[in-house]
This record gives sequence, C-alpha cells and structure tokens, in this order.
Amino acid sequence: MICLASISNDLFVLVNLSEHMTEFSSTVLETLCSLASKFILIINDESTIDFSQWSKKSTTIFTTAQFASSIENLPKHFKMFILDKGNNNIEQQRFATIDDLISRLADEIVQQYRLEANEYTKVDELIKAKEQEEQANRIYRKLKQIHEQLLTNKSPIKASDSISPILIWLISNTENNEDDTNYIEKNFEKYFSSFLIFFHEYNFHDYIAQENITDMFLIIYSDYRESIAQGSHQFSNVKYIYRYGESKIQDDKIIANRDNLCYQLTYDLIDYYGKLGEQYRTNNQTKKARDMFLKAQSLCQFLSTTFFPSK
Amino acid sequence: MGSIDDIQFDTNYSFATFQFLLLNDQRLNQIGLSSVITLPHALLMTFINVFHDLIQCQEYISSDYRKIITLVISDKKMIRWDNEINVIDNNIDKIYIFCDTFSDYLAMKKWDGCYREKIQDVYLSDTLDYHLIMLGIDYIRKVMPDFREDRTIYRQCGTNAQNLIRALDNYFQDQIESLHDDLGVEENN
Repeated sequence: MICLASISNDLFVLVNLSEHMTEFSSTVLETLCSLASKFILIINDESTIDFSQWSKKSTTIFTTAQFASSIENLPKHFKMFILDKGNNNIEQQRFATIDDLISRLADEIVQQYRLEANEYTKVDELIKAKEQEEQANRIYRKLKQIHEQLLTNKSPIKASDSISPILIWLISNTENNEDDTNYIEKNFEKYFSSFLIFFHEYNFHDYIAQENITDMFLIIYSDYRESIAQGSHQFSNVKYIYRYGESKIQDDKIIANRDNLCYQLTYDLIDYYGKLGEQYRTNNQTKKARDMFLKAQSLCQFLSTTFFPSK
Repeated sequence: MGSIDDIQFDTNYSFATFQFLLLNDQRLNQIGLSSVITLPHALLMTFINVFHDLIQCQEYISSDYRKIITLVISDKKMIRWDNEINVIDNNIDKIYIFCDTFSDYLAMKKWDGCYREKIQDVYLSDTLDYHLIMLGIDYIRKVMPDFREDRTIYRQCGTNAQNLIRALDNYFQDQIESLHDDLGVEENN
C-alpha cells in the first residue's frame, strides 16, 4: 500500500499500525488512500520520526498505546487517537479495535472534505464546494460497500457479470395461478432475466440452494408454511421474499392481492436497481451504472402511472 | 438546500392510522461541529411529523395505541431512548436509524439495544433524503385507503406521492449525469 502525503500538507499520520490490521480495516485504509491520499501518511519505522521537523499544520496521529506512551513532548497542535486493545474503559480518544480506529480516521477525513466544502460555500465557489461534498459522499458509499461485503453475509454484486435478477414462484398446487404468473411476467419482463415456476417445495429449495450467480426474488404462495420463506433468507443471493395469496388467518406479512404484489415488486425493484447502479458507479463501471439507473427511472414512471393515477 | 427544520407537517396525515414520525436532535456530532443534514426535498416531506424532544415524542406515541408508528430516529436519540425506556410502545411498527458518521453507522449496525426486531435499517445521513423519499411513497400508499371518503385529501395524497416519485426519478437522473464527473475524478488521481 503506497500512501505518501508530503509532510507540509499531511494531516493524519498512522504509526506502527500495519501489524494490527484486519481485512476490514486494511480494505478501508486502502480505499481512503486511493480517494484521499493527500491527507494520509503511513509510517512503520518509528525511528524516522522527528516531530520537531514537522510543520505547524494540525496533525492527528493514529497509533498504538505502546508508541503513544513513548512520545515525549508532543507538540500542542497534535491530536492523538490510540489503539488500546486491553482497555475496557474506553475513553474518547482510545479505541478497542483497529476497525473502530480506522473508521474514525475515515470520519475525520470526511469531516475534512465537508469543512472544505463549507469554506468554498462561504466564498461562493459552489462548484468546488459540491466537488468536496461529493468526494465525502463517495468515500462513505465505498465504505458502506466494504462493510456489506466483509462484515455481513450478503453477497456482493459480482463486478464481472450484469445478469438481471430472476423471479422465482413457488405456487400452490391446488389453485390455478396462471393468471398471476402471466400478468407479472408481462409487466416485469424488462427487469428480470427469467421467470421460474416451482410446484413443489423440494425442487424449489434445491434450486435456490444451488443457484449462486444471480440475485433472486421469491414469491411463495401463502398455503406453504411460513418457515419456507424464513428458511430462504439464509441464501445470500435471495434479495426479496414475498408471501402471497388468500389466507384464512389475518397476517400483515402476506400480500393479499395482485395489485399489491405488483406495487411491492415495482417499489423494491426501484431500490434494487438504484443500489446496483450505485455499486457499479462506485466500481467505475459507468455504462452498467447508467443502465441500472435508467431501469430505476422507468420503474418510477410505471409506479407513478399505475399506482398513483391522477384520477 | 433544505433541512429537517424545513419540513412542514400536513396535519391531515395525523388522522390516518399509520403515522410517520422523525425524532432528530439538535446536537454537536462527535467531531465537535454542529451538523446539519441536507434534505433537498424537505418541502415535499409533508407526511413527516418531526420531533426534537424525546419525551414529547414518546408521549405522542403512547397517547393513542390505535396509531401504528413508523419512526425515523437519530442514533443518539435511539441510545437515549434505550437508556430511559419507560413507555408502553407496542404500537411502534418499524424503526429506521440515521447516523452522521461511519463509526456510528458501524456501531448501530451491530447495536444490541432495544427494538432489535423493529429496526429495519441503518442509514448514513448523507443518504437520508433519498430514503425519506422512498419511505414516503410507501407510507402514502398505505394511508390513502383511510381517506377514501374525503376526495380532496385523497387526491392531495396522490399528488404528494407523484411529486415524491418525480423527485426520485430526478435523483436517478442526477446520478446518471454525475457519472461523467466520476470519470474525471478517477483520471486525475
């Protein structure tokens, strides 16, 4: 990882932290270095440090408790954030984990961009202000993505493919459901790569357990046990699950009619394609990002005219 | 630019069974600067009943148990709520938390406090505008049947939802237009 700020400009200095890094914190730090390298200086050989040589600019040191205790005569304009693993009584400037410490670094950098944005706004340089603000937002977008990929069980979007999600039905074997499946397929063909229908929970389960490339939306008829829907949540490619159909028991979680099902699908697809667009954008896949945002837009129009008509 | 303070609640929504509340705080964030969350579409968010005071908000919620509450709340207020939990609040249906910083976001993602079943999502406040638009569309769809008898209010809700959807559409348009900017930035680095 190369991250070199010039000493006259730098604001955030990391000392002796390399060996403590986790996968999460090092990925976050890499991102910060690629998006905000001018603010960061990484030092792993403390013998090279001579604070008296440093400029009068405000400087924040991120380091270990060991190194912190060895410093004598810290200049007054220096702040220090300390990794202190054994300490349960965490004070404001001591952090129990490296993930927390590096997240604080990210917040400090974002705050820096926002301060710059404010300064530009004050002197009416609105374009520059917007650039700074957007850079702050870009950092947070990327960090949320890293968090989702590394610290949750949700599968990340695969950068190499752009297959639309599939819609999977698990339908009742006692009723005729063709009307519903045809209607949904006709209205949503642009937004799903395929539509699959299962009549039996075992085949259905085998399929979703095995499929691991495309994102899945599931519609499960209400005469199947609720546990089938709950059990499907564990598969990371399953993004949305709907329980649908008439039901003897009053249950808010069951969608009772086709109109509401269509509405819910449209609404969730807007959010889905919006997020997808954002992720492609964060990964600099501009063309794909544009396609996703365009789909979200056409879904917005469908939502407005179909579910909130003017008359 | 608009902020939470610019939201003007349309009291017609207080007659609906479903209620949409936002509990914010006037505070300094952990970095020490007062933060103002920008909400460019604040003027469209007339469905939101904004509170700044925890007690007032709790009293409002417990004043009518037939009301079903969606609560959007700052992380600091959520933590205070957890410490001072003294109300009967079974009528809170869904909770969404917003945070100013990534550290707070991570903390709330793994938070172990009250209402774990009810917390639907955690947001960073730079995306709050987008999420309130999304939640607002869904909320209005839910309350419209309550106003079937009153055509004026019913129509007004419909118009309000259409405006929110248009704002969403424009938001995606802005994203598309900013794609060029992103390319420029990448090349400079």
